[in-house]
Amino acid sequence: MDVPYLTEQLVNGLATGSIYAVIAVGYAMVYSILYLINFAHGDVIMVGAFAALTLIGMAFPVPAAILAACAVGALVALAVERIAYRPVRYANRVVPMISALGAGLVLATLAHLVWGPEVQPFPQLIPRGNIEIAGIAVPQQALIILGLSLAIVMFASFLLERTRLGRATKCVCQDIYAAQLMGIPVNLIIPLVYAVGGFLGVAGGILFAMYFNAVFIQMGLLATTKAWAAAMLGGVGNFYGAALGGLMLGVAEMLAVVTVGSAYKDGVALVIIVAVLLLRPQGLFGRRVVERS
Amino acid sequence: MLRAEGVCVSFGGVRAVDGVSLAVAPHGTLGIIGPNGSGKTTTFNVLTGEQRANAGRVTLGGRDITGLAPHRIARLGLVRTFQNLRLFPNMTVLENVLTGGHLRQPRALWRQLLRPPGVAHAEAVERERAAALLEEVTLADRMHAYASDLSYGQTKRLELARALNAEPLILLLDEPTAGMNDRQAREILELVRAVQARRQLALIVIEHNVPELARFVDSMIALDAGRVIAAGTPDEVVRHPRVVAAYLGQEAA
Amino acid sequence: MLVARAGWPALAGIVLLIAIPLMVTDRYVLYVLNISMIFAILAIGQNIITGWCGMLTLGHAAFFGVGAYTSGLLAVDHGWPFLACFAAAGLAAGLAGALLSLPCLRVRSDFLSLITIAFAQMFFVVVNNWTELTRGPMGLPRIPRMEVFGWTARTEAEIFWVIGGVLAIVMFAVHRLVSGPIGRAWEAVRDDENAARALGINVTHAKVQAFTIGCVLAGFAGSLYAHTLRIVAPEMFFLEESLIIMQMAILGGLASLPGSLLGAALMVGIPEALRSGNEWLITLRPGIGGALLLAMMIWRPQGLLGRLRDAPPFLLALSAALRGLFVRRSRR
Repeated sequence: MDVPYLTEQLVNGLATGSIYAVIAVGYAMVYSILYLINFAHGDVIMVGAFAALTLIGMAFPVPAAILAACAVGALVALAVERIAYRPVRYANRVVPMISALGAGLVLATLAHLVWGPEVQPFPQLIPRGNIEIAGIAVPQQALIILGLSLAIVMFASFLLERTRLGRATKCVCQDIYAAQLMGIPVNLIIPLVYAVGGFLGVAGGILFAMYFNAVFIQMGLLATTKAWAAAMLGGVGNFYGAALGGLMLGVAEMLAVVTVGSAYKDGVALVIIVAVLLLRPQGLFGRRVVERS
Repeated sequence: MLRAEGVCVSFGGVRAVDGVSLAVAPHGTLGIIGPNGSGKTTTFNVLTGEQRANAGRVTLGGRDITGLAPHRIARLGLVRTFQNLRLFPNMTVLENVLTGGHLRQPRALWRQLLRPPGVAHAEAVERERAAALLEEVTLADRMHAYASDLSYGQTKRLELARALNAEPLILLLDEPTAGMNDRQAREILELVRAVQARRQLALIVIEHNVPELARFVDSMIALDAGRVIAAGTPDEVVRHPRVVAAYLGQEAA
Repeated sequence: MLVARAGWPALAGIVLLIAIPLMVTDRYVLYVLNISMIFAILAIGQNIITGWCGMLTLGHAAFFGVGAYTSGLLAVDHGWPFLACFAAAGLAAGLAGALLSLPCLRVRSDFLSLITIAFAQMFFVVVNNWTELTRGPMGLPRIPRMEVFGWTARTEAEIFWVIGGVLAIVMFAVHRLVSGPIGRAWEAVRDDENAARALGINVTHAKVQAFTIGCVLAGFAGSLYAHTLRIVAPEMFFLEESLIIMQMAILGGLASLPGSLLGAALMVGIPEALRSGNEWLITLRPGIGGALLLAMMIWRPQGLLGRLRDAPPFLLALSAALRGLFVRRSRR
């Protein structure tokens, strides 16, 4: 087949995949601590992306606007944790997931009221155009996004592995009661993880908005589905698995577009979710499978 | 009745259970003691099927049950209670006990929908039986309270009643006196002893309250760091130097 | 004899069922009641899955749609009589539910919520695009009315009796199930799976059973919906509908039959009542629904009439009083 075309598509696929990776990592972190699917995550991302749009529109310098929007994401995530999760932390499993759904709906409606229901264009922040690599034209925007995403994931990984905070988080992931007994302030760590998850998620959302030049209210749901497909592919709760899963999802979508047509692109994530559950529920790198004590 | 041979369980690099063997006669009572982390509950989990053993065999009434799913093992007559109390908080006391008798109750969908007279009668019989069990553990007055409203001691008794309703051949009790003062501990162990005598159940009890336990079990084993360090009659085990050393200051009966 | 066993609320219910269409003459009110009853059946199905068995399902509207389309297509394309369409709708939805839940529940029921989201989205895409079968976004029109053994339900009142009859039978059947070992097994699985397993309950079997039955009810509701509105279109079965159904079950009360009725009535009735002149309410509806979910989970997870017990004590007194009025449980 046509090598330059394929290369371009591959890079595009990796770029979108890396965006999914950033978002998926946020999900994986929350899930690995509390075994809760954070249904509000997608809507937090959406609010953050809109916030970025507004800040940039108010003529803030772009990097500052992006950082501020990510911080907004972290704050919103904290609020969701405080309002929707903490009061019901010890209730039956189903309760926090439902209240997260509720929080997500409230966020979506707030966004609707503030920014309106239409798709809003997001400014082209990275110039289009191609770079020559080994004689093949590679889309510049995709490469930059890929680089940024990888940088973000590396940064998150650094936080997790190298800092005291990160290590404490890993302890809490392993065994929440033991961590408490060891004096780790679980009531601080949990909101912190949500906040970091929100921060990362919004970063991913902004990348998404940059790449597709659009923000819209449903992007929360879209992000949720794709991030979950990625996280499940890599093995739920597994940080690096989620990142890798994201990349794989991006490439898989690209393959679908190239072979079957772009109408079915979004279906790939759905198919992956179902396939993983049927064939290999622990994903590629996960360990916990069956529900035993 | 129940026999375990050479059970080993490893988590990562840690050997939680290292070659544990035990046996209980059909109407016998066995106590398991040992410091925290010695592998008592993990051994229980292997016996009940919740934990897969890396090595070893478990037989119930001569039948190999190693690796069977927990609900199948329960169907064969092995019932347990949990150390950290696993009641059904959103169901009443009576309903909790009724759930224990689940295997006996007519469970086919069409039978429940149509409720032929036999089924309605069976349900009534079940309720009487559950009420009688609650009488036995002196919880009858709280029959319609929700399980989450009970005091700690009452929850322990409820768990016992629920387990008994499953008509076990052998009952495994995981620290029935956890978190209780001496008086409560004595009461509950008295209850256990009475129940066991009445039904001639086989019994395995994990306990920290060694003196009380020693008073009524036929035999005992002591675990430390996943290994059996002593086995025999309660007197023998309790006086065993390794056991005393492991407990460091625990008073022997 | 049947009535005597179920108690006086059942008798009152049956009387109401017969009497209401005779007393209420406003067609619009009857129409709203009819839709409420259909959604009540949906809410009961959702409640079986989420309230009694503790599993989160976010695709209930898709099974609703499976039932509606199955029933509509069999009637329009193949001329099947209504009762056959109705039965087939329940069967199809139940089958879909079983196929979906079986592999998933072996693993971890949290993922059920994801797979139901995925299913709901896939359902919409398929129905919207497979135009040869489903007529696509324009919908399937001219679905025949409901008819039972030759008698056709033409007026809103007659439709009320058919739907009401189905609802009554559903409530009766579900009451039977939840007050016996099957319902107890579901609740045990919801409250503590490990303890349930230790008592011999086959947890996976219980979950798949609850999910399938919930879906069958959704299928029946779908059939009723299709033959009442006489048109079905993909947009009726969005993901948002699933959330609305969930809100009904939660508002009225998880694990509560009368609660499902109340929740459906409120969530169908109130928007209808406020319909005139308040377009921005439509925008706000998901937000209000979301706030409702939040508030309910934090302060009153058992909804207005339900059973789950994590609420503060002073509300429970009120709940007990209300229960005395409404709950139709025969002496428990």
